[in-house]
Order: sequence, then C-alpha cells, then structure tokens
Amino acid sequence: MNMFPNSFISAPNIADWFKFTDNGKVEMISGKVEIGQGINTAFVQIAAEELDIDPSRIDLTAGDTRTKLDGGCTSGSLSMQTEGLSLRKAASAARVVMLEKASELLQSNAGELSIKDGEVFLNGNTTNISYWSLSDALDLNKKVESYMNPKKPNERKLVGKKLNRIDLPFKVTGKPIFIHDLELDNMLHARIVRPPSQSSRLISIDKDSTLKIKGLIKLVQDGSFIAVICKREEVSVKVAEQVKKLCKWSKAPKAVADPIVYIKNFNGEIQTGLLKGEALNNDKINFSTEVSRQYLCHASIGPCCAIACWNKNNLEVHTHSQSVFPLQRSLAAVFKVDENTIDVIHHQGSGCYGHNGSDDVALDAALVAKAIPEIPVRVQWSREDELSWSPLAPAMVTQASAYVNNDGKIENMSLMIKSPPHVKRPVGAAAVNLLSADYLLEPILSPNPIDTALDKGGAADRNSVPLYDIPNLTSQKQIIYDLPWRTSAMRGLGAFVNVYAIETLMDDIASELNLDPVQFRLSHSSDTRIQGVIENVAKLSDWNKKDDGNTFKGIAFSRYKNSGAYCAVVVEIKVDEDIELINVWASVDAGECINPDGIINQIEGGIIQSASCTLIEKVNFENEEIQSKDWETYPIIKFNQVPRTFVNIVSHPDLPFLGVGEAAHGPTAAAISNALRKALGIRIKSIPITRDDIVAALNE
Amino acid sequence: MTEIFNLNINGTNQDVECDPDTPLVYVLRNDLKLKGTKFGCGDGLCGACTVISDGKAIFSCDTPVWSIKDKKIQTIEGISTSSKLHPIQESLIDEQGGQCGYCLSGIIMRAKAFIENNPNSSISDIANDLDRNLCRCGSQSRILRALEKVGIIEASK
Repeated sequence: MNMFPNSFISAPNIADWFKFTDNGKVEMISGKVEIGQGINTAFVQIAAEELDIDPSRIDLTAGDTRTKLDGGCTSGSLSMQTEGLSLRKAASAARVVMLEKASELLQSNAGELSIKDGEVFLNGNTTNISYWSLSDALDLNKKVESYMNPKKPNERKLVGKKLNRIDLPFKVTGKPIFIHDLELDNMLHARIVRPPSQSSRLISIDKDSTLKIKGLIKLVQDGSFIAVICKREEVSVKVAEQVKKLCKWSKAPKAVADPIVYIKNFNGEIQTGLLKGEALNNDKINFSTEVSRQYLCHASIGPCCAIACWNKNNLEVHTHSQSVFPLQRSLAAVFKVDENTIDVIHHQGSGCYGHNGSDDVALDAALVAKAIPEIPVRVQWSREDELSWSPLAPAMVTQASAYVNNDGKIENMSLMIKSPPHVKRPVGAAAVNLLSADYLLEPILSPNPIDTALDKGGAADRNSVPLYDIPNLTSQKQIIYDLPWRTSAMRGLGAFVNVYAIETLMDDIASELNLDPVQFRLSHSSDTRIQGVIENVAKLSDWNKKDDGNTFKGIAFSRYKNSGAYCAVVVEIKVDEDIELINVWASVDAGECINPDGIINQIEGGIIQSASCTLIEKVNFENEEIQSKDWETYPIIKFNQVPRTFVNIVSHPDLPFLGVGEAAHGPTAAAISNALRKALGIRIKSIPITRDDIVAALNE
Repeated sequence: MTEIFNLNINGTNQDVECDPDTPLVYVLRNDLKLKGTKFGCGDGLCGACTVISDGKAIFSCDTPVWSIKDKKIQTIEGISTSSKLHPIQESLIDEQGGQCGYCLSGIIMRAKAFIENNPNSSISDIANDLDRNLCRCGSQSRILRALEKVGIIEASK
C-alpha cells in the first residue's frame, strides 16, 4: 500500500479541489492534515497565490473521506513536496479555466486580463467578472493536468513571505478547534480498561460486581477489550478504575532486562541498503563508534481522543489520525463492512510527531459505540494510555566505522543499524495495525511490518548514508522482531540515531586530525547546498570566535532522508552540574519557501524537541510492563531548560520544496554531543546523555 | 450525591449540578462548554488545564469543584473580547508562538497571573514559573520571546 499516493489519482479534476461559493469564499479540499506543523496555512498560501485571491477567502476541509482527495498519510515531511505541488497545479488550473471563460465573455485575449482578489480586470479596468460571478458558468470538472500553469518564480507575490498561521487566533483564545472539544448531541463518554502489559489477556471479569457500579451505563467487552460507557466524563474515569480492579489478567512472559544490550548483541538477517564502491574491511577501520538510543514516547500534551457513532447507514468516526483513508480501510477490515459505509473525518489534535495512538483510539471509539447504536461515544485516552499504549519509537544501536587515509580524507564509511521496526501504520486489510484489534475475541493480528527499504526513504536506516564526498559507502540493517514492545514511526525514525553516529564520528575524526569541525566537513563537501548551510550557520553562530572556556559550541549537519531539507546546527552549551543549553543556531535550505516563518517555527520546535530526546527521555520498563505512565516517570524538557534559538533560511525560490518537519532532530542531537566533547573531552555514545553517563565517562 | 454549586466564572455566576469532588476541568469543559481549558494529565503535572482562581494560577484537573465555590475563576475565554485580545494573546500571534497550540491556553493563563503579580520579572523568572506547563512541539523559545515583550510593556506601565 502506497502511503503517499499521487493526489491526482483520487482527485484528478479541479472540482475535486475547489468550489467557488456565492458568498465570495472558496471551499478548498486537502488530503494532508494539520498536525501542528502549520500545513493548513502553507496550503492556503499556495492556493491563494495561484488563484490570485486573498488567503482569508479560503475555507479548508482537510482529511475527510467524504471528499475524494485521498492524501494517504501526512508523514515523512512530504506534504509540501507531494500534495503542496499538486495543490499549486490544481489552483493554477482553476485560474486558467476562469481566465479562459472570462476572455470568451469579454472577447479579449487572456493576456489582457488580470485577476485581483478574484476579480477580473481587462487592461487594468474592472469587468464585474469574478470567480464568484462565474461560478455557475465555470465547469471545473476538467483535468488539472490539462489546464495547469503554475506561476513562474518571478510572478509570485504572496508566497515566500510570512503569513500568520490561520489556526493560531483560535488557539490563543481557546476556541473549540480540537477533536477533544467536539461535542455531538447526546454524546456519552467512555474509557478503556487496559491490561497491565501488552501480551496480557483477560482471564476473568467479575461482571456481577460491575452491575453495582454507580454511573456505569454499559460495560463493553469483546475478548480482552474492555471499556466503560458513562454519561459524565469524570465518572467514566472513576468507573474504569473500579472495573480494572474486577479484572484478572494473564501475566506477561519475562522480557529482556536491558533492551540496548539485547539489540547490541543481536545477530540476524543483514539487509544491505547500499554498497557503493568497496566494502570496508575490518582491518582497515581506523575510526569507529557505536551509539544507542532508548525507546521514546510520543508524549503529546493532549492524550489521544476520538468520537464514533454507528448511524443507521454508516459508521461516523471523528479522529485526529494522520491517515484518514488508510484508517477507513483498516476499520472496514475490523468490522467486515464496505469501506464506503465508514466516514472518517479529521479534526486537529494535540501535536503529532509520528504514528501515535490516534488511529488506535479511533478503533476504540468505534468498538465502544457499536454497543450503543445511534449514540455518539467519545473516548478520551488517559495520560497513562497515551504514554504506555501509543506505539513507541524503537530503541536502536548504530555502528559507524570509517577508514581515513593519510591525507585526512575519509575513503570509506560503513553503517550497521540494529533496530526494531519503525513503521507499523494501519493500511487496511493487509495490515490492520490497530491496537485493540489484537485483543478482540476474534483477534485481527497484523503481519510483521517491513522496515522501509533505504531506496524508498529508509526507516531504521534512514540517513545512514553520509552525504559527504566519500567514495566508498555501505549501509546495512538488522531488524529485530522479537522484542515485545509495539513500535512505529516517530519524528526522524532512524535518522535521529544515524545522524548522531555519523556526525559525532565526523567530529571525532576532525579532533584526532587537529582539524576544525566546520573546515573538515567543508573539505568533504562539493555540494554547494551543503556548503551553503554549513557556512551560513558558522557565520550566524560566530563559529570562528574561540570558545571562552565557559561555553562551548558543537556543529552537525544532515539533509533529512538525503532528499529533504538541508540543515546545519550549532549548539552552545555550558556544563556545570548538568548540560545547560545556551544558544542554538540553525541554517536550513528547504528549496523554495512558501511560509518562511512556518519553516523557522518547525526548525525551532525540532531543535527543542530533539534536545529533550537527547538529554532527558527514556521509556522505563519492568519486564514487559511500561513504567513510564505520567510526566514524573517520563519527563520532557521544561521552559527553563530550553535554549534561545536562531534560525536562518537559505532560500532558493526557483528550486522545488523540501520538507523541513524532521530536519533538525539528528543534527541537534549530534551538535549537543559535539559541544560536550569540546567542553569535557568525552564522547557520550548513549542517548539520552545523562549526568551519570558524563560522570562515568569522566572517571574512565 | 450531587449538589448545586453557584460558581463565579469569568465574572458571571452560574449554577452547576455535580458531585462535589468533580474536578473543575470537567465542569468547565462539559457543563459550562468552556472548551478552552484542556485536559492533559489529570495529575497537575502538565499545566494544560491551568486557570486563574482569585488571581492565582491553579490546575483545574486536580481542583475539586467544592473548593472553588467562593472563588472568582478566570478561564482563557474570559481574558479577551471579540474585538480586543489580551496583550499576551496579541504578542503570541505577533511572534507566532505555537504549533499544535494544545498547551497554549494553560500557558497563557499561568503567564497572565505571573506577570500581573510580578510586574518587574525577568524572562528567566517567567520561564521558571512556567516550568509547571509543558509544551511538546518545542514552541517554548517563541512563547518566551512573546512573553518577554508583554512583561516589558506591563512593567513600564
């Protein structure tokens, strides 16, 4: 199943994207959804530019299976590169069709016409013709690809400049914009009663005693899936706790004590993603590192939520899923109904950084609502559900080895990645991949996922090939299926760890050769865009100024997936009892920029989130049971720990868009480590970098 | 047993019938339909549910409704009008301080209480106070830039 279908397969015609309504508005459809990244604003900006209208005229419907536009999954930092481009074409086609009609009515050449905020002007004079005056006469059931004619870079007026986010005014005033805020008539509240750990199953439930629980409208049970339905939300929280005490669950088998040790020692099938030139012989290796990262939680501030209702003729699901069409197919497979009888409708959720529990809670809501037809049921996951039942980002170990010749040039670099799989998204009947489907009386088990191959963007091995001028390169991975925890995509996937391995090794080599890390990288880069961001961030951070003995700087670079945005980061730290992040500078090249402030916002957020993952985060286990259940057992970065951030864009208005959402993660982590090496002369190879690791390394 | 509580929310008195132990966050969101206050953890550890009670920032998720019956409660809905935003809200829009925005109403309410009670605070004072509010998208540096501006304006009044 292609998670990134071409938008024109499902939405070939202009009418599939735009409708001009008689109130001077434009209804626009998007297959990609807002997950906090600002895509709605960028899409509005692209369309307003091509339509020559004010952005405020656009009303956007995004991620709704009742429309035709199947945008697949909003992931991989691909929305701009894929649908953003399709949208530009579709909007330009609408403009072309409108101008053709206007020139026919005005008996003039299209060249004499111009559009200003949707009104047509003939040689600068008003004509009383607009998208709206023509809307009935305008046939938009025409192929986008037959009419499209996007503006040339020098014709664009609106894109490339800051446009304030269209959602922010609602969010700062507390308007009900989130899925959590949606309230349907007669809606009831439900909570799920989960087993103690993933492979536990229900042995028994004392149903007689549940009948005595006050406020319980209905107990839902299907195999080991248990939920409670109540009228009031806070009652459902209490009732779920009471029901939990009446359940007996099977014990999970013992799990490995230390997943990192297990992963390090794992020996499985080796998949070679790339072998360019010669393989690196063990006896030639003169520089190497082995880095690890622990399991991580998505840890959104708002736990996952969904509302479902089994109406007479359809199942209606309100969700904050990244993949509404694939979710529709997976739900159809679970309930064994035609997918066309399920409407999946997206609403904004709390920040989404990958495949979290949003799809899972949608199935939960549908399962619960089935027990009480024609009444909408809202399922709100608890904080514990969110942290310990969403898919985790897998722990990983990456080995990077290099041969550096006598001229100080890297001749060969080789990476070996060991990791549980990174992609377990719902796609439909072939892989339902929804949490509670495994717990039903007739469970719907999903096959082992395939960790995406490197030539398709990679997953565990994402960014395992350095972009530097190195003639011989190898990337290999071993995927581990026998660790018990459910894992899937989280921001950057393997790139976070692989960039950490490559970019800390680059600094280790530079240091050994007594070379400046910036110069060393530049001496291995003939790509002017790589040089561009590295030189730019060096300038921005005053790199050449000597460290003052109090604060220290480290640099790192990567191009996300080797096909997305280029990003170079310099981190300045101070080390007392802990690592204190002072300033972080970044330079990013995302090709053509639609909304520069949106790009800067994504990079700043990426820097801070990556800093949190690098210095603080780790899932704790006791055997299989996840012990990270609240913000005390899974702390994240706090306001007084964040650095000041300064981001600069290297813009190329004539080059294609490059996704930025995941560009900052790897370089930030490596730059922190490189600054720490400068400060204390130690290399920490395990993430998170904790005070204990630093003390141990200093004592070695 | 349920009871009727007469609550003062955003300057208006309203009756709510519920169990006395009901956390305020549910009363605000579900009984009074004030959805701006968010549920985040239920433990007073993330700040998404922050509201102002008699001028002090509190977590509405671990505040039972019985305990606020004599207090004046302010929520995100009560700090602006349709024509005029609060300076913090304005400044956040100017700085584009936010991504998903789920944490924002709690952060705005805590910052408002802090800046009003401590008009000469530095940005690090504000950051320390906001330690009880989490943001996962990493908007902190932008939010602090926005609050710094408001703090300076308030202090110069």
